Amino acid sequence: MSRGTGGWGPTPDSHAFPTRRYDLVKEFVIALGVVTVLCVVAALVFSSPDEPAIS
Amino acid sequence: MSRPSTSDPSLGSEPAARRGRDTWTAALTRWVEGLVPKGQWLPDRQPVYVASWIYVFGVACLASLVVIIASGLVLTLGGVTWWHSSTVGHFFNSVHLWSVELFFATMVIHLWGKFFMASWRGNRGLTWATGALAFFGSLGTAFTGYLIQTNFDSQWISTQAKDGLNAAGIGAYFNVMNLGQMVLWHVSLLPLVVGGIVAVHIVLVRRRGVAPPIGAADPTTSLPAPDPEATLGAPAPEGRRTESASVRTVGSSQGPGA
Repeated sequence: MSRGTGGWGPTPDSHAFPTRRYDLVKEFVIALGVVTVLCVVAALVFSSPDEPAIS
Repeated sequence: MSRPSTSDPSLGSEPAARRGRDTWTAALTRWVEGLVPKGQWLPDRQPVYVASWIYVFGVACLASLVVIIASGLVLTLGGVTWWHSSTVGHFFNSVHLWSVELFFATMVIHLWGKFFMASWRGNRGLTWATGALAFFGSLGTAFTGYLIQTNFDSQWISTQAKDGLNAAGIGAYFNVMNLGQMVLWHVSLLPLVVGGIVAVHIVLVRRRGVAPPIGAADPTTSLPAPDPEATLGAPAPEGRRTESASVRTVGSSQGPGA
């Protein structure tokens, strides 16, 4: 066990690794589109419960 | 309009080296620029190990939060009871509900993924802690949402919660049966708190980068020096390695965001 590393051993700097293309903005926009569609479909199909108040 | 010259009398005898560097504005600018390494605010490249669908759930959680805020803003237009009497209001209430369901589902998958990757390694403890705080803050925000439904569900939940909170000794500080208080907590106070924590969390992720896999060797000591002839694409941040052609071929054919 390496001291001071929680037993995981030293963790290399993430910026030291080779890189690959990764479009963060495209990923977010696609995720937003998928989530929006899922929410609208679920809202249309399952709606939301609304039990009337008793007072 | 003419540009000020160095002979501008308004600058007086101020030394050139000090000019514009000792102001609070300049200090704030340096602080913001130093929050993350140069080129890491919104990079178009990621380490090769970021090639797994598990990394998608963080951004899916963030996208769900955007839908939550948008649908919540629509609900504020008609007031707290609008959705009972309006088909449009009920639809947006349903979108709000299901976006919250997706938000928590993706957040929990993100949380467990990061747990099993021990993503707090490499001085990322604060990133993990802010993520946990965002989770608990979101629980509180969701709970106040249940309290302001103005129907039997909210009546039942608030009376049960009142007893629980009183038993825990904190019932004197806020009243879950006070609709006005809970509405303001839900639409203003708690979203600002959660939004702030999420912002800090994202800055920390950009600052520290994505945690390398457990047991990964430091490439600066375990790999041969990169061949300058094989380097493609934009240069990596200053002082960092650039990719090789073989890495690009493997990395660009799998995983999200490629």
